[in-house]
Amino acid sequence: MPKVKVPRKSTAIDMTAMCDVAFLLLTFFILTTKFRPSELAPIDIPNSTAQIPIPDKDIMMFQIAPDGKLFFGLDDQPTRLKLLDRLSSQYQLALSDKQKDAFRTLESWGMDIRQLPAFLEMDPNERAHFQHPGLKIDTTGGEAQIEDLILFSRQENNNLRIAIKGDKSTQYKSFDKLIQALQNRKVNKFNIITSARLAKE
Amino acid sequence: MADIVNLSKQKNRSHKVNLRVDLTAMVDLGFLLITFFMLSTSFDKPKQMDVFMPDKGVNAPTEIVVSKTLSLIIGKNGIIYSYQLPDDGFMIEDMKIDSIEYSAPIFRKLIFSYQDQVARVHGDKSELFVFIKPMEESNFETLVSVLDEMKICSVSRFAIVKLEEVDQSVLRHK
Repeated sequence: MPKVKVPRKSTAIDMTAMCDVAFLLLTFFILTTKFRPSELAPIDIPNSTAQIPIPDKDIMMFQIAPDGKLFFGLDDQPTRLKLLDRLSSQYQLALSDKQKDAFRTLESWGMDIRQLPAFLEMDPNERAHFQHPGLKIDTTGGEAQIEDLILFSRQENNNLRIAIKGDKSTQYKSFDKLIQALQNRKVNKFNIITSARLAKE
Repeated sequence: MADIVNLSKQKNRSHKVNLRVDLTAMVDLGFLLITFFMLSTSFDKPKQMDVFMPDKGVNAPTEIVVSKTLSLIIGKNGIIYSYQLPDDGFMIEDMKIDSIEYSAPIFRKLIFSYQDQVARVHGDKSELFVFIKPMEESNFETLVSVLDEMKICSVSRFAIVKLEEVDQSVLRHK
């Protein structure tokens, strides 16, 4: 009796195609990804039917936390440095190159400008866990720090657009203070950042 | 999942190098990285809403016929008070003040009714001018919704303004 030959099939699967697909997708995600900026306070933005996406560059961003704290951020690193130069001459801050470099990579911040050198002196880990007290709002007509930020940034970069990111539950009075500062610097046009929703009928 | 090589068959042949590379580990790595990038990507890019504020330094403010205007006072917890003044003098006591709790359909109905009224008196509903007066305690969300509704209801003329004396007394009478 002849031996019955059972054909032996290899259990190995050809992974080449799968590997190709995986890396194709990977390339897509690497190229399209834009990392979420770190947030100083959780901000839940309101909805609107506005359809214009925020531009990728030249943005000056003000964030208003639910408790009214105000944070400031520029997206462009060279402009950040120029702004810091202007601030240090205006407020007589003596900054080392290390501190300047720390400011260059700072996404957003919110504190009295005079506290900046001490903050920038901290080591990166400490800085990441620092609780920002919010920008100093002075309504008594003394030192107008927010106005200075707006003025200097706009002088250093003409194309800057102003975006305001407020929490749903932020009270209007904190928003109003910011608008007053903007209007004092003759800024009457700005953008409110919202997430998209449909206009229900 | 290495290949099962039949050793008995290979015995007498010359040594052959297996050209197949095990790609499993590479695929694993690929998908791991995909997962990472998918999770860290933000797909729904936030949108921006343009806001124009009336210029502060204008010495001669534009005059608007009072009956074309509508005042919306945004109060606490999304309550909206609305009133419209007649052209001639008025008494605060007889003023009609609507108050609604903000929700899009109710608010739209309100805006439409005022638009119709302006259209009846002045012939064109786009003549309506809306003053949005947020109180200090009002929340940001209601303001954004109201601004958004202005666009949806095609109210082209509106402005965010401060509460005036008359508004304070209106609210006291409410």
